[in-house]
Amino acid sequence: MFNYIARRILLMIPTLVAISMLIFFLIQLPPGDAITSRLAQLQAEGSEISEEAIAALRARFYLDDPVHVQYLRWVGGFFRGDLGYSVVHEQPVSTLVGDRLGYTMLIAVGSVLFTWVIAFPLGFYSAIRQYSTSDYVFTIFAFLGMATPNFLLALVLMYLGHTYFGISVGGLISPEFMGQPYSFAKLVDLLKHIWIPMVVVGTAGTAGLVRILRANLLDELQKPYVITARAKGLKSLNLIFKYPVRIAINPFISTVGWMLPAIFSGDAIVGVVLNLPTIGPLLLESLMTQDMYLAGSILLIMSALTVFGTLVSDLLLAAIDPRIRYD
Amino acid sequence: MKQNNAEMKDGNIVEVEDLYVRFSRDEGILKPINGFSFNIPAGSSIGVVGESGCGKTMTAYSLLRILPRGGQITHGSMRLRRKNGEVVDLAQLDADGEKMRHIRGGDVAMIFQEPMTAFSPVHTLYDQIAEVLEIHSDLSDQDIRKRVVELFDLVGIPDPESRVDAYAFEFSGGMRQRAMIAMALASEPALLIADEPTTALDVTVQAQVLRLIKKMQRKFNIALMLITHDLGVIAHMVDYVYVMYMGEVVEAAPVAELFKNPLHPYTRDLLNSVPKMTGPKQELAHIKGSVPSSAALPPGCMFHPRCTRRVGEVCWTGEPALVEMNKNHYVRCFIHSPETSGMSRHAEETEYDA
Amino acid sequence: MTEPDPQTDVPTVDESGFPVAEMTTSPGGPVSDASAPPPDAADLVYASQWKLMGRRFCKHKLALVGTGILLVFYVVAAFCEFFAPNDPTERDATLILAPPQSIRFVDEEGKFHFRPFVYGYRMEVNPETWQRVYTPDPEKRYDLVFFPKGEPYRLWNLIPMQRRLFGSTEGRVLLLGTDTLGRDVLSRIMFGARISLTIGLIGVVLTFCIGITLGGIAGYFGGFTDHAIQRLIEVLICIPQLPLWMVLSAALPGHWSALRMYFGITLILSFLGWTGLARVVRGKFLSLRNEDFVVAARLSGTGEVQIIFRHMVPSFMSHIIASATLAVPGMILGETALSFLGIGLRPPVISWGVLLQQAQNFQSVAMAPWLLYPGLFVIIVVLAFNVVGDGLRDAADPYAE
Repeated sequence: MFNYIARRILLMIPTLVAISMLIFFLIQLPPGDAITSRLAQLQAEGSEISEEAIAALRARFYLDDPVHVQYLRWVGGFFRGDLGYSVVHEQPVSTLVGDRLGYTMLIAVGSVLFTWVIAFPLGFYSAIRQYSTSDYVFTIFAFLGMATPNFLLALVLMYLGHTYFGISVGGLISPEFMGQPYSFAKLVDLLKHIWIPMVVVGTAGTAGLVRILRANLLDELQKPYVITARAKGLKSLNLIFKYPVRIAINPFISTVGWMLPAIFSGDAIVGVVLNLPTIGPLLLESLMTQDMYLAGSILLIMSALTVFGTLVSDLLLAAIDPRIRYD
Repeated sequence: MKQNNAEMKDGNIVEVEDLYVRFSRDEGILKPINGFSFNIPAGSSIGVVGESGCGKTMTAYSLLRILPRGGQITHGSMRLRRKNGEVVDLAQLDADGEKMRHIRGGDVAMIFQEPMTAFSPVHTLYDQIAEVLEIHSDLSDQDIRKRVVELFDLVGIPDPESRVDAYAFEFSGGMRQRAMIAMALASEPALLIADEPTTALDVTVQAQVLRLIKKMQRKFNIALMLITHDLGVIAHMVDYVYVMYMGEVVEAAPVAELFKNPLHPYTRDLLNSVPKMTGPKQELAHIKGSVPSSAALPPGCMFHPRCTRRVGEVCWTGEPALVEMNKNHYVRCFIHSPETSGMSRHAEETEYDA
Repeated sequence: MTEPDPQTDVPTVDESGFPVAEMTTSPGGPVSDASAPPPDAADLVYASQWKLMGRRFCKHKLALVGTGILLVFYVVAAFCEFFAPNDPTERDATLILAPPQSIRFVDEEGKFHFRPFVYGYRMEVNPETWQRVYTPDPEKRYDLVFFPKGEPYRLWNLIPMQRRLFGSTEGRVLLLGTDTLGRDVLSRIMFGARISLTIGLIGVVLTFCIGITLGGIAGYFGGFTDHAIQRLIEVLICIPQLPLWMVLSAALPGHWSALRMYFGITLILSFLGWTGLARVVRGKFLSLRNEDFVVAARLSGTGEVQIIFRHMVPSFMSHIIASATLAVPGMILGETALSFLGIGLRPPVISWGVLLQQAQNFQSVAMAPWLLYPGLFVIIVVLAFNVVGDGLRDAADPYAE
């Protein structure tokens, strides 16, 4: 087990290095760099900028260094907690990302919990009552859930909320609590808002997980060890929970790993629609303004968290499934 | 061999009479068992022989009332004398009821064909074997542990103290089957059903496992029902043999008699397809065709489409009865039947039209 | 390599002419009646893998419905100039965000008309909000006809035509309302289908090529190559997909033409999509490498290339096609999401994502919910692809019940 953990953690390092190189390559792709677009922006506003000022700016952001030096500086910064500097916002990336990342992670955790709580009973019931009416109903819902783009779901929820319930859907904190210190009232207000992005972001995953659990459980219910267990005189429900469910549950553990990228993807677009103070909309904004370092840093943070999430779910899987542990 | 009285004969532990099992499937109604009858005297061993698809395993599942989804006992009785002396008709019990659950694993235990997959891969063997005792005994946790270790020792697994905590995939096939035997013996059942216990094993360990089963049967005086397609296995293991084809008995005889004097063409074909180590060299025989789907039972004698010794039209229009040829030797074939009546074979005739 | 069906495995007539299989007729009946084998039993024994697959697929009712829906969508997309009742770029400043018209048979006076018709609009301005409100105007009755002559157009930019599938000669028919510039939403959805639906297909073809090549290389050669490709896949799947797509499409130069943009986005979508397919192919190669029939081919001296293309690829092609079908919706959703965010395709290109962009803010959705119709079509198409893909996957499994 110890070897397994050590191996998995060591494997993380080259993965992260490769990801950071790929991302750094990508943010170098657009023509020009952060300064040129910032200059264009300033010139459009009518400000005159001297050659020396430009040179100073370039020097300040080390834009004339060789590429590999720039890369090392960028990645090195991550170890010191320095996530880079946003040229457009003229602020450190860490300041910009700080709170937003917290909200994103809150939504992520909420979505995973939502997914589990909904997907387990539906998938379980669908499998043990295969081809029943409820199985068909859940199947239809699952297919619909997988087919509906989450931003559309958000829009529909907003429309329904506005037209039929007269509530404004969107944002995470009501205007009256903006900028106020945390209090119980603010927390309640947050909870009133945050369930919507949790549901919207979690729906597709829930639908997928229902299908996976149903398929896995149906598969496991056919296995000879279930017959063995029945022949022992176990009660049906105890049996199903002790054996097939125990094995079919593996995808639930893996969700921690694969749902994170899905949630970041969902957040990127739902955050825009619902006007959330999360990192998704910040990424879009940074891309629009060609603030590539900010975009790269955000992408790297998301990827690093995903790698970490995968590690956690792999370790959890190894903990519950001896076949992986002994492999 | 048919028991007409409702009571159970003193010496018997199981009496199955005129058993019919039906499955409703999309493609039609499957008819795996069609009037199977047999009994097992206490402490004795019987063999059920036939090709795959003959309904052998379904018979075992019926006794345990664990037929797969869609399966149903439509006719017949299965009387069992429990360990406490009570006589119950298993066919009448609620399959998920309290009583049936106590019988399953408590009075009747089963050894499965695939020791590979018959154990859960994510639970330790101890966990799975102790479960039997948790359900069927009042032993304390420590006593259960002691008992499981004892069982492991009994079935010849070395270093039982630590091996009980292993997972099934850490064991070799033979060791796994030993663990399976330990599990089946845990509750000291009255009847042990072994369904092709050695088919999935290496030839070298087959004999060891069979010897172990025989030894345990004698030691605990358990009735044994050995299901196999391999007549070679039967010879040394059982007292009495039922040859099964398409869910009914085609021949039944004491084991020595069957080998000496096989009467039914099917039995002969089966015997001929066992390789012989002695005697003149000859081509190994096989039975042509394969067992037809039980969705469409052949009319007449069910074996006639594959039979090489048909006597005439009666074979596909008539229905042979089971007749006693010698003492305790029964056969269902027109060759040996005095009368060749075209009477309907069984009550379920209407289902043919389905 | 398919396992013979137990039913068909039985010879239909044995040597002595006795019926063997299919004795479903009553046991008392004459034997000769039971001797007719099922008409297609012999077919089934010799049917190719594809034929068997088609047979199983046809049993899948839902998948057939899905196939039908997809056919309709692709036909409409192919001939959208003809199917669309209006020019998708035609603006009308007097009909901004007009609601959908309903097709009527009964007029205001309760009179039934055999020919369906729609009402034109009457515009009023709400005195409080200063918003325009459109109501049906019984004075303007436009009869719906098939093949009306309208503005001339060119099918596929080549064939000059004047007639469209349906419409009215008296006024614009706007069954799904208009957008912020007074353009016909229905016609725009039909034109958008052309872009959105083909992007999925082309993307999957690209994905398919990259996935099979890399997956095949990894699975066939194994060792270091396999290891390297595996790591690459691992790296790619650790980066959240949509954000990565966003970064990539933001890197496309803004001055690119619509066509280049279209291919750029397609490339980006397949740049990430191949990983899943490559894993499937690799797995198949690994498991097939030691399969008896491959070993047998190798032992009998068949060349490696021949083994790959004659023996291995055909045996999992059906699986790959099913996986590819299931990958199409992801592509369509990807394009929609990117365009919706404004960093994918941009107007004047018409795609479903571009159309949905108008519904991006909440005010427009509240005022003109019909702007969400393109989303409905996205859902239908994605559902259809999922159902068809599921059907194909089930049909591709030769061991399925």
